[in-house]
Amino acid sequence: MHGEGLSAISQDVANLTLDDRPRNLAPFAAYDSEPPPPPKLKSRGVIAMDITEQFTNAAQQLNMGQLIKDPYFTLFESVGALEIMDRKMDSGYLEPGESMEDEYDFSEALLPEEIIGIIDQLLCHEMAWHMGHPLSQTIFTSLYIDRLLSPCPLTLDQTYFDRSESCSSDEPLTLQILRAYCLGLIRTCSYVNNRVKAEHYYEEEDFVTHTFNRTLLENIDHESILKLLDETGELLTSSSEMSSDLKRALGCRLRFRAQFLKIVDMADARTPTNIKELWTALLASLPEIKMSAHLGKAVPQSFSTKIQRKLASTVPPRPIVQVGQEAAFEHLERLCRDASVVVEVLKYYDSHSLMTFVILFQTRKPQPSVYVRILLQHYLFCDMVILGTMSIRQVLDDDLAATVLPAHKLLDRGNDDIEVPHDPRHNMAGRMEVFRSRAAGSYLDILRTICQNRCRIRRTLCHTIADWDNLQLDAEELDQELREFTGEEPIIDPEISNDPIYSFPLSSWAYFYKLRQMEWIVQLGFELDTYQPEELAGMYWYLQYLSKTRSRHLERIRGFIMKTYAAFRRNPETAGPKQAKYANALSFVNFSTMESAATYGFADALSCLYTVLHRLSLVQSPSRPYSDDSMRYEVRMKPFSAIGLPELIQFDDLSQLITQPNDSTIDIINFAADSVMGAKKGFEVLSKLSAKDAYCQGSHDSWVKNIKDCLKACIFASIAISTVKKFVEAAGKDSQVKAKVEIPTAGKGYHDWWIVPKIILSKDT
Amino acid sequence: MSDQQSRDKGKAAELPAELRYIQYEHALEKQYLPSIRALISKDLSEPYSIYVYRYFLYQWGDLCFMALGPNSSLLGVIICKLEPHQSHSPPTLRGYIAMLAVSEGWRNHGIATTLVRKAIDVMVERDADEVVLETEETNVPAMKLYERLGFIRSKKLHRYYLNGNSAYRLVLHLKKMVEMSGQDLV
Ligand SMILES: CC(C)(COP(=O)(O)OP(=O)(O)OC[C@H]1O[C@@H](n2cnc3c(N)ncnc32)[C@H](O)[C@@H]1OP(=O)(O)O)[C@@H](O)C(=O)NCCC(=O)NCCS
Repeated sequence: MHGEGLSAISQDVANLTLDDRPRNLAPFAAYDSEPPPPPKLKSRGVIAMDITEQFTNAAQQLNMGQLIKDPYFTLFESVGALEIMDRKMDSGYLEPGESMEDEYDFSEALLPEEIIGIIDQLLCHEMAWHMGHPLSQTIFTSLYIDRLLSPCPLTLDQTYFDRSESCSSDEPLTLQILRAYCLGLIRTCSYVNNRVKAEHYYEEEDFVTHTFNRTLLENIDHESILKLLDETGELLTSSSEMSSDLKRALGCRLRFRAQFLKIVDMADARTPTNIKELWTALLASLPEIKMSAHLGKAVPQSFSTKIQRKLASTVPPRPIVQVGQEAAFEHLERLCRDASVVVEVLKYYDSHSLMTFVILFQTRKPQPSVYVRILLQHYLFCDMVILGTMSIRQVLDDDLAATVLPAHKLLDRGNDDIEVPHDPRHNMAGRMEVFRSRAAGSYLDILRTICQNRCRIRRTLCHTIADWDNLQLDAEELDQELREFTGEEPIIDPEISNDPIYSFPLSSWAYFYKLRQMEWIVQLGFELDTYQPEELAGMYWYLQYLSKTRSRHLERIRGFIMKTYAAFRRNPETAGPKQAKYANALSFVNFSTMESAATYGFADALSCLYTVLHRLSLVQSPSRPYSDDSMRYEVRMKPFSAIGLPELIQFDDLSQLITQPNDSTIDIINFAADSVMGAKKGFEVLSKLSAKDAYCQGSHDSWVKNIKDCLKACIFASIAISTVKKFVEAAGKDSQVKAKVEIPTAGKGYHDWWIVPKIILSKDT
Repeated sequence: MSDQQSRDKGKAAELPAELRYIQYEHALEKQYLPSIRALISKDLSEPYSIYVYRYFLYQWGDLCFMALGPNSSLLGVIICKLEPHQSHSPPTLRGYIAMLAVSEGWRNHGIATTLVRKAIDVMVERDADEVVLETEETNVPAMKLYERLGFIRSKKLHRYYLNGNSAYRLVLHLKKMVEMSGQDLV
């Protein structure tokens, strides 16, 4: 728990909306010695009585520190408890002389420079919120924003900062600019917040949608805010009050606000729009703002932590989050760039390219900001219509066709129309519907999971993998039942088995995705720095094991596709489009086989390299007083322990496989050298594939970059391997190797999934 | 060992001869709770209320150990709990290290290591299946300490702390999984 783990809970507690009344405890805590009046109970039949005396008596029986609790008193509740008069817990606690609220004169005119200063500070706060900080410590610390939101305005006329009689007629231009900007800002936040809330995200961890019981101007018409921004801009242009520099600086900020607001409104649309151009235009508008930032003059007194006391929160004011201008612009620029890319997902090519798109989009570094990741989810899943145009069935059937069932009668839509109960087509349709309803959720969840933050992807996959194991079993049953209706002819091959061999298409499909996800779990473990150096030999061994299993499985799938394809070709009547479907499925199987070969080649090489480094004592595994290797292996492999296929390798077997006691060190390093060369060739071939052949249509550039990074890591590994090989050859059997190994931490290597050790010669060699 | 670390270690005072470790018990609250709170709060931006300490100390005082120096001053403390745990997998009797701190001037003398070992020893006596904790991703000393004892990182928790830092969940199995309490606990 340590540190703020607990306060993370306390933040949760604080965010529980306790009641709608302002929690004005302060006068009570600080000055008022009168006990509060007894609560007014409305419920009939309840008679209130004063138990103060009994309570005090009972309390006096207790020893200091004794805890009275019912069995349901949890850590969560203990963390939620407050100590009155503790400045960090009691939200009403005031330092001597401190006032409850700020005294700020809203009628006072501001210099144009000050307006720029406030606006730019608000932009920093807005980005801080996008980065995951709560509104209460960012945008809501502005007294001007507070003035706009409380009390909640119903019309634009109720939004003047100056609430005196004459305010509307003689609002200075500067204040009107600030007001228009603030209104645009809040409304933009409202769109963003509602979008985020509609999708899957983790509150606090990714984003804080909590508005502390404030309404983000949802009552005020969007168009009227845009109009105000425009009109204010025009007024500014025609004004002679200030220098042209300042006019330009304020003007571009107003235009930016209006543009951003329009975009977040339109961004939800999944029909073709010019949204990509709009994001690019927004990005292009930023340099002008950035370059005029120096004209601004900060107005720190217009921001205050005290406003938090007025918000629906039980915790005392927390400090204002400081995000600098540089960082804020960087975040915003990236947001625009990522958002302009994410809309490309709407162009659908094929189910495999879609998954590649989502995976690669999520591996962009730094990971795209929450709002953009949420847009991706929205584009994918909103209303259960995939990408706004396709039914879930369409995507799933596409994927089945492109992986295991090209041009297959199981996927024939015509089957749905057959109503004769014993017609095989009717039965196929029924069974396939059972399968779809079982599999569609799990399949879409892969995409949904990949949209989460990196840590969550791994955590979620570790849980859902068991579901895929079950899905595979359920599919196997359906496969068997379906044979009766498809009339599948088995392969009879006494060389392989005496039993007939059937294709099991649905369970094959499930197994393929299960293996993919198991590989990702191991790979994300590298990316997230989860493994200790001594674990690397074993984890790369496991990765090659999974990839090789996938490769063999693909071999099986290919065999069955070839068999039906051969039968199909013998029948000249079936023509063109079906041919293309076969070609497509075979091409995918080939591609995935190539990709798995590069992966297992590289993983095998690294596993062997780490084994050799262990032998040379360059990577050590000290003894651990409370555990041994086999127990740590159990912890590590827990997510896989319940998986039926591929079966978890037992620790003793695994350690034989990794340590390879019967092979000489030189043999192992030679094997690593061959393996890494094979992988290198594999990545080279992959890097030259067309978008279509690599199933990355819509994200070819990112795909090539990713493969090139793997290739770089591979080359780097081959250098490390040959360095070690030289040692091994030079050194006699038991002589000490004079070198040091550095293992890069996450993000420091060429590719996050390939941890390549750096071999450093000691100076005295 | 980096230069910085060796310098830190050099700087730290010699271990006092009077250093002793004692197990917490309720009668010690008045004498030690204020300094326990002070020591732990030092590394926190948000303090825990007294109820949090009492939640642990009242229910699992025997899993709390203190390192005491001259004049019974508090040099280090560990606070834990031990409870049946059940989420996705079969239930286990799970120990949890909630807080651990060593006073700055006394670090790198093995005090934390000893405190953790004493707490785990009691957990083992009480038949615990596993021990878990979270630590900030940037807290290298803590991670090294636990990993040296046999913990491994089972998962990373994104932006787990209020300061925006992520954490690792560290796990130590004390038994083979087949020997864990499993169904006995429910
Ligand atoms: C993390 C923390 C508890 C470690 O306390 P500590 O008493 O310094 O820890 P230890 O002395 O047992 O171990 C630290 C180092 O001292 C070394 N050491 C152990 N015994 C030693 C001895 N007798 N003499 C010199 N060094 C020693 C250890 O090998 C270790 O070295 P390392 O840097 O190679 O890992 C301490 O830094 C702390 O209080 N931090 C703030 C709170 C915190 O982070 N808590 C952890 C929450 S999970």
